[in-house]
Amino acid sequence: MKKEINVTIEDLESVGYFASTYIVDALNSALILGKPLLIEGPAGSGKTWLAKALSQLMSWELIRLQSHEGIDEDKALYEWNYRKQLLSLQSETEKSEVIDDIFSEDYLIERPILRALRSEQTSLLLIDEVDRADEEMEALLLEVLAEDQVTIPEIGTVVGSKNFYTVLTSNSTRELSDALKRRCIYLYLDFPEVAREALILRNHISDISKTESEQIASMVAYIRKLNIQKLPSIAEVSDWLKYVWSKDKNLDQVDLKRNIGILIKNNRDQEVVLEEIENFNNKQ
Amino acid sequence: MKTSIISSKTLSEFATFCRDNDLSIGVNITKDAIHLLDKGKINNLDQAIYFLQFLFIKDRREIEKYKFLASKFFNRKFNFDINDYSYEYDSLLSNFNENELENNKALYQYLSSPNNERLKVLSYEAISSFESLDLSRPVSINYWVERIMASSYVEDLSSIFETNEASFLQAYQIYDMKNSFLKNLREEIFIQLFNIKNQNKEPYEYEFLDNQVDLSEKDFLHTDKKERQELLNETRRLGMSLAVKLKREIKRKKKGRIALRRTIRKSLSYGGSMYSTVHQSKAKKKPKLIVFCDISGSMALYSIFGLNFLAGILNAFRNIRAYVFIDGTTDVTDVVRGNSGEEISAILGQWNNYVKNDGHSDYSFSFETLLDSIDDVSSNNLHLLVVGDARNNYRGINESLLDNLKEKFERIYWLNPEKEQYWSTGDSIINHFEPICESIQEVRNLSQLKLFVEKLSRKII
Repeated sequence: MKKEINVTIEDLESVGYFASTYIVDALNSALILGKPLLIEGPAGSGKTWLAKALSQLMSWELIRLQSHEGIDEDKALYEWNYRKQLLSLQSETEKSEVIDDIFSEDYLIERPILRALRSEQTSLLLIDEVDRADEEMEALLLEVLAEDQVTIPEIGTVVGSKNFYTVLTSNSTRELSDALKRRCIYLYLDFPEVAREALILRNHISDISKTESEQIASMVAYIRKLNIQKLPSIAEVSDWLKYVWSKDKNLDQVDLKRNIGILIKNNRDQEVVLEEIENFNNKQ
Repeated sequence: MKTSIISSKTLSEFATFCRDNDLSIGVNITKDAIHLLDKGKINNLDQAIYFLQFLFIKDRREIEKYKFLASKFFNRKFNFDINDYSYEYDSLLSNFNENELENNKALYQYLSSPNNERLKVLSYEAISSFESLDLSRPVSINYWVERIMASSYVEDLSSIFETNEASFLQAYQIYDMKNSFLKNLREEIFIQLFNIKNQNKEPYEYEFLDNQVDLSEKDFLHTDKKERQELLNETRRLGMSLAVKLKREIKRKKKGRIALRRTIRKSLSYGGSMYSTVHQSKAKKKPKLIVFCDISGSMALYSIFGLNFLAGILNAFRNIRAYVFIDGTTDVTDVVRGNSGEEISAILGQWNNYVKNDGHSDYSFSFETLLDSIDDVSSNNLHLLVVGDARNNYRGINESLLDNLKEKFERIYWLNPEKEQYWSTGDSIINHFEPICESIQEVRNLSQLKLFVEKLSRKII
């Protein structure tokens, strides 16, 4: 049984992550039950950052597996060191030495999942953007997520040391299978509410006031409600504000047209945002 | 074990109840739920239901459904909203009209320091000032909530937020403040009305709640503006997910046959041992998809969903062409690609631009013009997806046209938004197309569309 851990908002705040009760409760539910935490949400809402913050807080080693199209067990679980196997076979022929088994530990290359399973220190396995991987990869993960073990045909079953926790993130570009979801605790991480985003911005820009940060966060919340394809992430907002703040501390004078490229990365979206902002201001 | 909050028997029944109502949850969930309730800091039923969401919900779209089922099972309304970070409106209040604030002390107190008790006072006042409230009438609670939200009392409250004094950035803050206040007020009014209506009823014994259906099961035609927007976004995403599946298959097929000469040459660097193989690059076999969408009057709202589905596919994939038709065909690939939902809906607003003859659906002529416009496209691996109700206004259909379609397309898929029971009745000619179609499916809601996408992606690739 995994050791029970309880994380608080203040704990996460101490490592620079401003969580809500909802986020902390989902995280604690996963830690209490020893189940993987599946975090779903739009890009740039802080999913990966949450996993990083947890590993930093608990001083766990972060083992990250970045998913992508075509990722398979060779890259995720383990791989046989073919070169070493070949060389061993050649030296066996040349030196007349007998090698017991070329499919043994000596020839096994650990990939992130196997490394996490066999880690002696407590570690956090982050399977990032799992929705980018193929469905076949999901099937591979099922055994790891449910049983904390992996089966290598040539060796047998490697049972995890119970020293690792798992976090999966997904941008919902495709539906994950029910089988995978069922094994996880689910957390939908949306963009932060205004007050929380303002707090994040204050953490990034030390001399900005509470009111100013809340005003900017309100404007960003308005932009995120517009009909645009790519919503500005927390990091983009922070970068934009840092730039604007460095140029002029009077935020009411901000001219979004001159620096919108930092906030919005799509030409059509930029047009929509500028037009809607102008309409909004004219209405006031 | 804290059986006083929820006993294991009740938990098990609740899990079964959720499962029976299409919430996809595993059979072992009760054990985990008991463990979670036992170890978590849970003191009351509200907290228990709140915590169980992390186990029961596996998709953000299930959140509302879970709340609904919990309300139904335990006969009470649960509120999951927790405000962690205080939002100080104090600095904004100076922008408002003092007289109006003076007249609305309850609102002033709430905005100065928002809390649930003050919100309850405001919602109670809103309900009690609405004289025509009659919960015995056979209408939904939402009906009364909307009536109260449109009442003069709430209008007066809203008018306080209208100020000309605010600066450029303050205006966004006031906008946000107003919206979150009205959202919270709406939810609180709902809870109070719910509790009044159900105060004398036993949990889970009566069908006491308004008939609320899962949005993904709701007919596109019966959606309100907000639901429609949500469903349109989902529809677009479904289109994108279909495109992602198509793309992925192309990439997977990139590896061609083994290039023997190059493999042998490469093996020389490993002393003649074949360490790895070299493959010939394979010409990509792109699936060719033509999407053909009926935008005639009989298709009404379904055309918007059809076009948004198209937009999702087109934005992610360049090898698909889109056509709309009424009584002739128009290529809209470039119009739909890269455009927002509103711009796509505008296509239907410019309906006249797509009328070629009399404005009534003509499937025969439309298919003929489609075949003409794609004459230069090879029929190899070419698929056709039709979105239409096959209502041909009592015009005939040429048998040779069906043969031509069969010859041109490897597979034809048809999405019919009409209920299956009405197919081939009246002027519907869907039965003529049945023999040449791979599948014809009724698609009136998101669930059906999702199912279709799954089937289609499996068949095309």
